[in-house]
Order: sequence, then C-alpha cells, then structure tokens
Amino acid sequence: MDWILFSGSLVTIAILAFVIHRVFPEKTLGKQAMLDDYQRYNPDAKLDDAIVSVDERSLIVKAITASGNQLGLVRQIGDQLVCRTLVEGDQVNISAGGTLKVSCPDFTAPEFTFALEADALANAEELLVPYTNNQEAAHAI
Amino acid sequence: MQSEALASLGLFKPTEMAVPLFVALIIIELIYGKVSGKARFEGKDTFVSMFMGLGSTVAGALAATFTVVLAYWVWENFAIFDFGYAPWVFLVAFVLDDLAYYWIHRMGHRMRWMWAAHVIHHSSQHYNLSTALRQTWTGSITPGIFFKWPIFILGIEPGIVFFCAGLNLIYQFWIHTEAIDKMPRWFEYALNTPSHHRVHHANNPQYLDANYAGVFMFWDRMFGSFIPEQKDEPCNYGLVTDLGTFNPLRVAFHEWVGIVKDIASAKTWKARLMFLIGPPGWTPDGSRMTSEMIRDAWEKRQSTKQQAAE
Repeated sequence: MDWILFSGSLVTIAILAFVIHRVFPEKTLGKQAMLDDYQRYNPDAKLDDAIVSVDERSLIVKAITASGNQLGLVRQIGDQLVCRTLVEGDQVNISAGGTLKVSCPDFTAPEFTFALEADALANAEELLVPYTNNQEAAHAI
Repeated sequence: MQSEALASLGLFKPTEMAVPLFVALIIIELIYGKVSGKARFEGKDTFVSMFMGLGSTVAGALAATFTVVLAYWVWENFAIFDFGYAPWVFLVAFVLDDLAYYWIHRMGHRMRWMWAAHVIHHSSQHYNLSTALRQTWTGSITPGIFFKWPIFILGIEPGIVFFCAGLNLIYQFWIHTEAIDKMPRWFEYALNTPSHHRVHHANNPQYLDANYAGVFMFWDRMFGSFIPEQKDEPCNYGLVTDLGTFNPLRVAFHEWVGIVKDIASAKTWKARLMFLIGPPGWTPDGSRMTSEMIRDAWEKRQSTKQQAAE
C-alpha cells in the first residue's frame, strides 16, 4: 500500500470535487420538482396537502393509496431528491424547534429536516402524528 | 499480489495505468457538460464516486492475495488443457472473461448477497464518467469470485484473465456518459455503448434488470436481457430507493447492514437464506418490492391507463 499515492489521489479527488462544485453550482429544485419526484417514487398515490419548507428543499405530502393513507417525505441533498414513504406502523422521532426534524430508522436516509413557518409547522406535526414515536417526541419537543 | 501475477507474465495492471486517462476524460466531460449542457455533475456526488473508486483499489489490494492464490490453486490443480500464452489465448480469454462478467453482473442484480457489493456502483443519481469509478469495496466477499473458475479450469492462466478483466473495466469507463447519444448502428448492435448502459443504470420500471454486458452486447441479446433506450422514456438514474447520504461508509455498507438486520429479524431459516440469496427487495410477506414486482405494477398501470383512454 503506497500511502503517498493514496494521499495524492485523495487530494486530487478533493480538488476536482471542489472545482465541480464551483462549475456546477447547486440549484434549489423547488416544490413542483419534489412533488413530481415523489409521484414517480409512489406512482399509485394521490397526493394532497403538500407542505414545503421555507428553503424549498424538503416537502411533506399526504399520499392517499388504495391500501390507506401514507406520508411522503422528500428532501433535496446536493442536487438530488430523496423520497421516503411513512406507512401505518412506522415510528419516527420528531423534534421541533425552529426546524422540524424527522428521524427515521433508515440507515440510508436517517433524517429529514424542514424549516417551516409556524402555521406550516403545526400542520406538519399534525400530519406526522400517526407515525410518531410519542414518547420520544414528547421528550424532543 | 495481482500485480505480481501479471508482472510474472510480463503484463501490467491495465486499470492502474489508465487512472490519468480517467481523470483527463472526466475533466473533458466536465468542460463539455458546462458548455453544452449535455453532462451534469455535482461536487459531493463526484467526490463520493471517486472516493469509492479509490477505496475499491485499496480493498482490491487487500483481497488480492486471497483471490489470486485461490485462482492459481484452481488453475494449477484442475486445468484440463495448457493453452500457453499465444495471442489467440488472450483473445479467447477476453471473450470468456466478458461472458463470466455478464453472469457475475447479472447475479449482482439478482442475488442480494452480490447486490450488497454491486449496489454501490448504482447509488449515484448522476450518470457521468465519475460514476464509472464508483466501485465496490466488498466484491471479493461474494460468490462472484467463483464465476471465473471455469476459465482457469479450461486451462487459461489466471494472470491472463486478470489482465483481460482490467481491459474490460477500462472499456466500460467511457460508456458512463450522457454526452454521447448513439454510436453507429453496427457498433450499437455488437458492443456495449453509452445508450445501452444508460438503460442499465436507469431506475425506470421498464428499464430495470437489463443490459448487463461488459463489452459484447450479444450476451444480453442471447440471454434475453437486452432493452434498448427509448427516446420517449428518458433514463432516471439511481436506485429504486435512493440514498439520502453522501457518507462513503454508509454508501459502501448500507445493503450489508440491511441484510444483517433482515436476517436477525427473520423468523424462519428459509427467510434467512432468501434474504441472502433471494432477489433484492424480497421479503416473506411481500411488503417490499423486487424488480419483477415493480415492473408488473408498472405494466398494470400502463394497461389501466390504456383501457381508460379507450
């Protein structure tokens, strides 16, 4: 194992990634792109009551399906969108200060963060009630 | 160890020699993408892809002793013929290695144990030359290592096969791009191209589990896994359930963690086994979806739409 070669490669990768970050600046994709992406992710659902974060980088949406109500979560990381669906029986932890944090037991998407206005925050918390780990939530809030 | 095996044959390790070329081509694609809008990059995504590539070379070096010693043991003890080192042996080895690659790759999508290693390569939502470098760290702890044994048993020295595998990987680098639309018709028919491989990386239901070829496209045509890219169905890249993290460790090991959790919570031995060797998405109660289930659901939606239109 040549550590000099390894370190040199790592530095080159970091420089290249930095250049790419400058050449292709991140764009906020916005509400419609998040809704479209979630619809693609959960094509059988009828979407209703979408709540978008102030920075338009995350979204909570009620997803109505034949098998019952679900809750869609969408988050932009980098310039990519990541979707998850909460179904009956799922238990997430929420904490709300200025931002609502939804912590999922999901190794690959552990947290969704929503910066919301006061009204939207209340609505979002209400939507999350059926999926909330109440004990933890009470502690967190 | 692999380098030593190749050096003993007077050969070099092709992928190591090609690294400067890879970096140069990524820079060219980056500039072309900025100017033409035909290629898209994201800094963190590129960093993860290239870091995974670097990690893969480290993991490969660590595992090489085991895989190379095993390969030479098979060849020395079970080879039926001794083909030597004539140029035609290299040609035959290249074709046979490509066939083995096809089946390793196909099983890499159809068996969760092998998918746990291969999923890394598909975990980017981007499709550019840096995606080609997003390689596994755990390939050598899957049954994939056995697929090349028949070539050793036939009588081709493992060093030649490793050399051909390196050339195969180099070929596959340039097909990870949106900057090239279609190649000439004869080329698209015979060889793997950006268009064919875009379909392979797409998570659109109609494109799932297709185009496993490394170099020669006729394996897919022969074994029924070929799907052409459709103009009216643009590829959407990534996983069926995309990763919500750029953490390289989570990228490298997430499916392994998933397997361990599933096996630990399984109630029967059949379920434990299926979580390992069944297709990705398999569950005893059907609560998750395999690629067949996703495709079936898509076909059902299409036919419902068609009926509604009529």
